[in-house]
Amino acid sequence: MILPVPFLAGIQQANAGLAVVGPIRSGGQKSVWRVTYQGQTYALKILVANAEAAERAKREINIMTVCNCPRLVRFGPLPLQEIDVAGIKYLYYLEEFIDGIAMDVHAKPISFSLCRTLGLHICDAIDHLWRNGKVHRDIKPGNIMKRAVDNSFVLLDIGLALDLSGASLTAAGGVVGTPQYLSPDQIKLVNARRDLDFRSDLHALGVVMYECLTGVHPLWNPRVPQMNITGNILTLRPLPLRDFRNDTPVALEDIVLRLLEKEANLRHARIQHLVEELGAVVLP
Amino acid sequence: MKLYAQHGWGKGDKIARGLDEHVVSGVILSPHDETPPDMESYVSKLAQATGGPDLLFDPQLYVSLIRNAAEGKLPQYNYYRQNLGLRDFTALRNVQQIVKESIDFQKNLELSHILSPTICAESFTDRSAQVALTLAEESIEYWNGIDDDRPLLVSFVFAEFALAHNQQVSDFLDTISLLEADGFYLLVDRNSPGYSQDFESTRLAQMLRIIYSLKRSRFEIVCGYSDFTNVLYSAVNADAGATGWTQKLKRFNRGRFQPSAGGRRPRDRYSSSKLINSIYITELDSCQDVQRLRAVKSNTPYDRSFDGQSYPSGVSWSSEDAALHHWASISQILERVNQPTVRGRLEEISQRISTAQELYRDLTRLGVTFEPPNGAAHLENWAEGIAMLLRELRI
Repeated sequence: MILPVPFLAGIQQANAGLAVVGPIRSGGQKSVWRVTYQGQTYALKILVANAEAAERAKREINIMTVCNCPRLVRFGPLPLQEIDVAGIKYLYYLEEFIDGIAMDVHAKPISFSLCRTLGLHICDAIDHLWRNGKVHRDIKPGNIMKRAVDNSFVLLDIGLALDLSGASLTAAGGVVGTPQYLSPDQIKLVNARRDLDFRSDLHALGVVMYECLTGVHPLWNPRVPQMNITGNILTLRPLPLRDFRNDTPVALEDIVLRLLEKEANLRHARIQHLVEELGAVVLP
Repeated sequence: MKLYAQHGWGKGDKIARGLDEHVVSGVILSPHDETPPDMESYVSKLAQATGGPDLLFDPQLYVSLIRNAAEGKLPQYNYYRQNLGLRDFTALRNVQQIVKESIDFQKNLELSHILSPTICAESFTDRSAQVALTLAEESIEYWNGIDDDRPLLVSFVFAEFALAHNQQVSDFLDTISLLEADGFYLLVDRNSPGYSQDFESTRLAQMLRIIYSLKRSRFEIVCGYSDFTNVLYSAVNADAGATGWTQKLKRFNRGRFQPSAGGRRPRDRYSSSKLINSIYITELDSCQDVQRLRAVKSNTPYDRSFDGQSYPSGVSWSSEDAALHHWASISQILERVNQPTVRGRLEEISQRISTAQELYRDLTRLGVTFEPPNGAAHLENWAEGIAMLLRELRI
């Protein structure tokens, strides 16, 4: 849904010096625009206002403010504001504009070296979130941007993050996140009410790395049963990466398959260990 | 994998010789069996042994919750409390005091590791498990505040029945794998007090899974009272296991800390690395009768007395010799299982199990009979436990 231009005009009117350059992406109840403000480029995020959107926006802004990490998108100079257009309320704020490409539209497979960089940078983001008591819960290619300037990676869309010290943002009776990138822990949480930790995000990182290296989703591709993505996440053991890409370094394959373990305790218990293992992979 | 001596009553020179002769490389000390002053001097003496052995002190707080426990020398230790119940752990202040005193006692000894105090968890979900976790967390917090580089191993003692619940084991592992400890000291409170190598296959597979998972997370893993099962634990990367010279020091059961019912002296035993079991000396006599002494013998340096000239039961075989031989027999297997990968070692042990089963079949065919605990029953369970683990995990 691209929001009507008159709406943008209202925001520009309310914030002197803000100029809309063009749309970045839109979907559902949200759209993002490239804008300039006080001589800098930013992303303007606009959401149709409702209780959940407001909570989500506040959460995202809070995390962006608390986590000072180059691998997480940063908050911009305009705080959360509300505008009423023809009786419909919208929320908006500015965040860092990432000049680059989202990994869901990036060509795949990517090089081993680039995938390792992606792994290391997203580890850094997960680590920062966890040290602040947060779990992202929606790591997927569409939420990872590769910066054009230096091929570094940034994790976006922190609005679904679970705050372990606060109330959980959860649809009633449902699972939060994107179905194909849910971890087994997120699915089991609904039934067993177990606490999530950063290892849930590590599972999603494993899915992203597998997908970036092979071009296929580990648990949802033509070579695996496609009856039910949830069932596959809970029980299907992914095929070795070398079945799709036979020059994959064994150590890299081992790391990715470990991230995809069904039980959190079999994934890395320390992010630092994962960083060390990724750093030690000998690339062809 | 290192083999430690599980210290207990009647140590004599067994441990000192075991360290000198390199059949064990460390000791897990039992305050139940030494007064505090004796413990302090004994630890100092052991610390001087060649090679600097690993020395660990199990606070044995769990004894306090055993009904009608024979507490031995434990009440003489200031950190120990008699007749504790779960209600005594409700106040965090009490937990912290117990933790502080048991760690402070160890801090002043020349130990290589520090072990946290714990209680026995009947299952991984009940209140006793929660108390055990609280003791673990408080121990980590207390030790982190002390300027001392020695590793802290978090102790967990759990009932064998707890291993029957796969999901509970997973949930427990999910929790403890996030603890900021250096490692774990693990005891399984076996269902039956009798000495045997048997371990029901699904529970064994769970125990192996616990060790495998924690080792993958780079924790140091020490298993107490693990005897011949150390062979299996070594395959999944356990760092050390322990066993002693009496049946109660070879297999953990809370009966170790209950008053003895008396009875006659246990029969002399022989530990066979070929059978992966301990048999009676008289059963070794039977093996000699059918010309299979060489096939069954472990061929450790302590086997020289069994030269076939006379019956093994006629050989002078002191309890010290038996202890050193037992450690040497287990160490021998641990040294020979040396494949670089977990899968490789599990397959190698499976092959050894098959060979042992074949030897048992051969002996049975020749008319040798074994008392049930000394027979081959455990081998089938071990093989099945390994198979289950391999099916369950991506190893």
